[in-house]
Amino acid sequence: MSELTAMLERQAAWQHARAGMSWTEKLRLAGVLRKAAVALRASGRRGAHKVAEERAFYGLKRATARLEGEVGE
Amino acid sequence: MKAVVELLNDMKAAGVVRDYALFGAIAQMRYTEPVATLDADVLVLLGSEASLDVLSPIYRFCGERGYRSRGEAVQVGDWPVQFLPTFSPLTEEAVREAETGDIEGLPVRVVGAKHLAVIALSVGRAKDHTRILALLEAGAVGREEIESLALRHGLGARWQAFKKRFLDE
Repeated sequence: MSELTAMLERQAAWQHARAGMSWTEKLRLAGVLRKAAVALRASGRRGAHKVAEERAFYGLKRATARLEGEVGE
Repeated sequence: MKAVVELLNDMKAAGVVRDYALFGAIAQMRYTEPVATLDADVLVLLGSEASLDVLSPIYRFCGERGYRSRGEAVQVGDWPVQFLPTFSPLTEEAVREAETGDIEGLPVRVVGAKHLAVIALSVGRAKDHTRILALLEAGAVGREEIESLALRHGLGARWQAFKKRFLDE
């Protein structure tokens, strides 16, 4: 527990140190964060697209199998 | 961000806006550690002859400089910039009493900590509450200053609720 407290204290000290940077530098960092967030959102969308594609593919496969079954009957 | 500051100062010099001030996360970062934000928010004080489409002169001015609108914002370099006309006596006062900061050596109008905190109090989302706490923790503003400004703008009850929820032991 004391190790965890020490870690949190170190993190708090690091965050406080970041507050002391110049505004310009903080905005530069915020710009980096913004780009990362935008990229993450875009990759999320790509992920969703892939899931949709896979669903369509497997849906098609199931439909084909059903049709083949019907034809076979 | 330099391009944003140049645009804002040019806009004021050309009389497109009477005044402007950065606010939101960008303004908060003068006092606190860097925080994630997707855009730069700018409060604008417009002329009294403002029409229904109050932002069109701003969008036109931006367009003439090659900055195109994307959704609710205008893309200026890397930053989407969102212009908000002052929407209350509090936000008007925030622009009138804005401070002059410095970004990359350029002067820029920016809402001060006291007004940032009370605007956040008036909006009242979770991220606004976080902003107030961050400003208090950074020592950028005191509880008494927030209380006094909140009372002056009819936000005394909100401040009491905020204090009870987040600050009282």
